[in-house]
Amino acid sequence: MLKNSRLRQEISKEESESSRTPLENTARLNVQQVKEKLGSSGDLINRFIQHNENKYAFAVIHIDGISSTKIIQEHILEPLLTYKSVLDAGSLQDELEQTIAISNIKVKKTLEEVLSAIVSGSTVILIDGDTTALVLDTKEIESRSITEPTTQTVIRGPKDSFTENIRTNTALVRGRIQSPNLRLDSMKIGEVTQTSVEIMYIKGIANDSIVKEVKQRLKNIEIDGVLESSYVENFIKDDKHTPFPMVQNTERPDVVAGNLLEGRIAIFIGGTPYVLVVPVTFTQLFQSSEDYYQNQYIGSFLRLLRLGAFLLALYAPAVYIAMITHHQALVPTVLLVSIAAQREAIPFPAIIEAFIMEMTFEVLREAGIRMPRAVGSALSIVGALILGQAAVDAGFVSAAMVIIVSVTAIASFALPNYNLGITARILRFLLLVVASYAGLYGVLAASLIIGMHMCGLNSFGVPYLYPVAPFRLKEQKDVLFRFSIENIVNQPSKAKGKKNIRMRIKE
Amino acid sequence: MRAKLLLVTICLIVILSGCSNYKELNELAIVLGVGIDYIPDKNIYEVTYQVVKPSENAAKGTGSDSTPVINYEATGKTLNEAAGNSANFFSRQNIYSHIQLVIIGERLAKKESLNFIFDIFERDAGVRVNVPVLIARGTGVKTTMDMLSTVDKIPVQALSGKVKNASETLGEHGQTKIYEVIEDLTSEGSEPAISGVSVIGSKKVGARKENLETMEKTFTKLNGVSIFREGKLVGWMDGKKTKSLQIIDNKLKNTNLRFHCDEKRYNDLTINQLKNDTKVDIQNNQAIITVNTKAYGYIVELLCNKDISKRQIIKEYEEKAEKELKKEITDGILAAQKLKSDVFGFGEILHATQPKKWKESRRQWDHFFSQAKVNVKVNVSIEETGMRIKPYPY
Repeated sequence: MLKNSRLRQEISKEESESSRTPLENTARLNVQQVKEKLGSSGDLINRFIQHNENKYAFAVIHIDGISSTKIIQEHILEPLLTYKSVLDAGSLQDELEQTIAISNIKVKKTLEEVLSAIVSGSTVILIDGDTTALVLDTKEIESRSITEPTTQTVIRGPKDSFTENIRTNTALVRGRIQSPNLRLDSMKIGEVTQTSVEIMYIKGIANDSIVKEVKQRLKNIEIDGVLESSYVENFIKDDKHTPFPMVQNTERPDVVAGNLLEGRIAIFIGGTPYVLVVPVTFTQLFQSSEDYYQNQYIGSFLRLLRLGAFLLALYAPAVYIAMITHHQALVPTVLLVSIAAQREAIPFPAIIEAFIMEMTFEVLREAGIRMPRAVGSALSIVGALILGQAAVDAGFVSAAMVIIVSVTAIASFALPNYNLGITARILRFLLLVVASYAGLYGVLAASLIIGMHMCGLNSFGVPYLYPVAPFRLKEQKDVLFRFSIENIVNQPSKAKGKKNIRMRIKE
Repeated sequence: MRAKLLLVTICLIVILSGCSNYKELNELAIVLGVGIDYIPDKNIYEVTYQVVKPSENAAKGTGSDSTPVINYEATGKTLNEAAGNSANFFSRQNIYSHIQLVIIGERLAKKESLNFIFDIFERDAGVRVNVPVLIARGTGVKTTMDMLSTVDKIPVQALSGKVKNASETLGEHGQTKIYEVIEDLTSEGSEPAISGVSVIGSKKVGARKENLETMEKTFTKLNGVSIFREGKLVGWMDGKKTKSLQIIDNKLKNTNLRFHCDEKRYNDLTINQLKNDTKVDIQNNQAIITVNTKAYGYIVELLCNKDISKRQIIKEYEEKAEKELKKEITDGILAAQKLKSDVFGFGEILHATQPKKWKESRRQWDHFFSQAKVNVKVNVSIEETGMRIKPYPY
């Protein structure tokens, strides 16, 4: 958005000029500098405390709203106000550290470090006669409480979901995997927004080279702001022009935990409840966490059903068009006569009819997401009446077409991964055009091209169709069918001495 | 550059190729039945097309309550010419992939021959050859196809349903499909046998909407099996002996067998499993045909009041049933022998089992067949007697 704007250039210029300004000796001067740099923001609060007849003075600075006023008052200001120093100025800093009841205290020496600490919500104590500053972690941003997931719901299984607060999110996963091997590496991305990004993986299960690759790609991101995980996703995914999801996103902590146990890497991004998971394989997109929470037979059945739903969402309109415009011989006679009767009064060619319906549905769907909640019922009435009844009665489209489009729509909603539905939506139109041109022959040719494209995809070194292509017999237990849990879950005791790493990169 | 070239190529392919095979459904006439007849004086074929009217057959009626199909005739020196000429009669292009039945006129079958009629069906990839064939017996082809029916609204669909039903439950009429006719015509050791269809009732009423509203309907009825020799119809086989065709072909699924239990009355069996083994040999310049049939069935109706809990009664019934079934088979073979037409495919059996002897006799196989000695062995076993065992007390 702002990536190449002048603002960014100015900032980087300014930074390079004065990237390491040492702090001044007096608190008052330092405060003045901070105020200058922050443009004397209205929410910047500073407080001077003087002791022993002005012998020692401190300045406490923080930004209101992103730091906890209560903690500052109780654990910083109160000890400081009642503090009686007996030592000289040289070890005052040590003494303050002993006085203040804040767990995370850091010592900073440059103005820039102090500034970034202040804008991230920390409280800074500047001491008279000292060129160092104490940075106290008092970050507290008002955030949503943990609620039920809204986009990835299950019948049986944990009901919590991620929030916009990155610390809450990592805590939700840490609570599930209480292992010393769970690693969390943090970094900041976004030159302006300075968004916290944290990588989580389990040492010993995750493949080190993939972890390294993820870190490298994250480091290489050059962007001014990260407002949602998709910003990061765009930078780190392997193929930027594929319609297939190359990074999985989820708002469920149990999904992240499960993926970590499978050797994948989670990327937490501040300010969004969606956590990214890499590397991605195609088969993984058909798995719902509930597969594992229910009986294995229903789990396997549902997984096959989802695969069917995906194929339906992809192919239903294309195959229908191909059948009725090119291969009438393939339709059972009674059905063909019935469809022919419906098409009698339709003035448009079948392909135009298909486009009218598909587009109407897409518009309805988009409107359903964007409209104000209050007009929802009005939209659904109009949508149902127009799409279902009136369009057929008016002779715009045939009833068979309405069925095909509805089946397609329902099938695309049955997918556990919203991204996959988007893939099906894009490719569906391509197949539709090809089908009207070249019939099933064209559909087959397009499918081959799509298949070839999928075979060529890699996600962080892992083939996209793994473990189907390249075929790994031992890994088939969690692909089309979900075998019983003891078969698919990693059992470290049995794997002793063997390599425990789950995700293998291409050999 | 490469991307641009690819884009241009794709555009060219899309624009220049066009939709060669693209046919809108509402520009097509779906042909469900084809009738073929021959006018010897003019030496032309007369082809009847039965085209469905979609709106009359839709689940939700939008039609104007007229006939569900349209039959129209076109003529030509070849069948394809006739098909081309049909464009003069009809506003939409015919598609033949949904043909359900082919009806051959008796004139064509007798005066011309079937030899080359089915070539177009086999040659054209868009037509199915697993479609049953019938011979219009005593009535014109178009008239037969005109007879409206009620439950299966489309006349040819009703007819093909009748063939299927009769072959599965009665066994007197087989579903002779186009490819089977072609096989029989092209092979030396067998001849086709095709069921016939006649019209029962007033032909004028049958062709009108009236026929659907009255209870005195005009029906089409399967009537006998036509016997061919060298592609020409030479005679008809009627009645129960037509079962022999299905029995020897091992195609019989279900049939009923009535036999005398005393002088006046009959019992009835349902045969639900039947195995036949045929052997053909030539000895002393005479063909010997041995038919060995094993049939399993159950009693469905007893009109003689006998105690069937006794083993000997069952045994007696079995023997009588064997006699009856043997008669049906022998009669069938005799009828075919009289017409010198090997509709059973005994020649094929000889060809497969004793190729040397076949080679010597194939030239005069018709003669060998008509003079053949026929041994029929039948074994019927009654496996069930139904829900009642005790005889009635009166």
